[in-house]
Amino acid sequence: MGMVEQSLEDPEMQNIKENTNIEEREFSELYDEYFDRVNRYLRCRADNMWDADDLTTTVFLKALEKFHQYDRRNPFASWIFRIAHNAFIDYLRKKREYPMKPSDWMFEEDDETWQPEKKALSKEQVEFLHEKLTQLTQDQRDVLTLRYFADLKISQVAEVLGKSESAVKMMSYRGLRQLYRLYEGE
Amino acid sequence: MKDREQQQMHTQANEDRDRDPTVSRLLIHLKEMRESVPVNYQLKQDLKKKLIAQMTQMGYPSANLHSTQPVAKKKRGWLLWLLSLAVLLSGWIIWVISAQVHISDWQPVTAVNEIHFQDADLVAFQNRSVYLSENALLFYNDQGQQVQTISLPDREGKILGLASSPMGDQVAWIKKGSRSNEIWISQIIGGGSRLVMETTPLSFGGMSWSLDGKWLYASLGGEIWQISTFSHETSILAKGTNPAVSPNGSYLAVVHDEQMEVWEATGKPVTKLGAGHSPVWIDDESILYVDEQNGIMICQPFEEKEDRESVSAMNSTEGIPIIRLSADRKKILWGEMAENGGKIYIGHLNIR
Repeated sequence: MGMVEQSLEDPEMQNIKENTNIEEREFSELYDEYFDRVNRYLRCRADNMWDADDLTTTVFLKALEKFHQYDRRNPFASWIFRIAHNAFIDYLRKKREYPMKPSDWMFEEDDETWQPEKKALSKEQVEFLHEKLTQLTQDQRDVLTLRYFADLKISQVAEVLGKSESAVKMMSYRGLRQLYRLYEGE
Repeated sequence: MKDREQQQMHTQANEDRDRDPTVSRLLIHLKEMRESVPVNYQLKQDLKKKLIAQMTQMGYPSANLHSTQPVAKKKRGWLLWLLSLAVLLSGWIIWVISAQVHISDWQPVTAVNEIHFQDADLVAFQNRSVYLSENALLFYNDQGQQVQTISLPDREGKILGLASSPMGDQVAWIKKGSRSNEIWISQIIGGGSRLVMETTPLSFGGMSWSLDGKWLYASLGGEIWQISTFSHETSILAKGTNPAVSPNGSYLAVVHDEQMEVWEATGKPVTKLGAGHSPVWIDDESILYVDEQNGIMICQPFEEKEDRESVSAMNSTEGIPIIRLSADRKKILWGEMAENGGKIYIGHLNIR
């Protein structure tokens, strides 16, 4: 009984008990749930699906490596997408060093392995969205893709980007309006 | 936690729309775009294996490892142990007495009762089902509303059957003409169709996709053909109808002389399972099928002990029953097929 009494008196325990939002799932369960969202997010952002899939692999390998650092009182979505977003920033940095125009190679290779993937989104649709997104500011792009393609809440987007919620709301609003104008201009 | 998050996300999405109605159409478009981005499920499978291997290397106690738990959780002591033991024990009892697979919430798709269709399937990841009519693929959402139509190329002959791709982006269908059988693949986005294979006219006995989307398995002339969806490569693997390939691509379930059989994907017979038809793999070790009494059953083809369980009260009273599973194994379609149409029900598949 001593252990029980001790744990009930433990302020940390009380804190945790009060906080019902503790993530209790195992890594493999979280992987099952979040793979699709991370993969979709990176496929929306990277220039091609091969890079997006490589990045997805990198994200989950890193997540496993760092999983012991994950504080379960915070949403897993914010944590995994921070890793995903950082991996994407690294990718952009490397791409700047070795630039390649997406349209030169995005759908041109005749790689049968990925043929069904390629056909799901038409070249025009992907290019169109990519082109419109590139006309937004980097912040607006980050916010909109995290919000609407990674399906994160405003507070989670704010955590991933290290910004305040009100700043994220504003960027989201302005980004949407701008994107809307770009679509309307077509 | 997950439900609460989803609810909050939903509320915030509504807030975005309410804030400025001019962007609501854009939000719908972005949502559609997001949902239409395909996920690489092959990578998902492969990476999971890799991660599990890595976890083992890192010294995690099991593949389904528990990661670092909150410090306080470790302090709960023996009371928690006792509680867990009791929960495990009752869980085990429930496990023993209940079925592995449970199907719930059967809903009729009444809208399709009035249309003439030859075959039906679930579209992966889209909450839609697709029906093959004489000259079009008709898509219905779960609420029974027709949401899309794809016209088929105008070719002479009779449509026979369809199969929706595991990525939810394509539908393969077959038409039998007076001089040839043709297998086509239509794109769900865009609606374009391409001819995949042409043979002499042969009887048709069902078609399905491999999970990676690279192959179609079709029963033509009583033989199971493996047909590449990218090249002109074809081969004949087995005898039978109703081909269904296991998720790992290693085995084929077929129906031969009204008996279900499992073959290696290389074309070698493995085991006979007894009477039944319309087999579909739930995972690499379990098959759902329709038994002689037209009810849905489950069996484990590689278990030594022959163990079959009924998993649903659905029994066909009219027409020939078929079952189809969604690629994510969360939904099941039950069809009672008549000459030109049939009754369709869609249920939720709960797999333990």
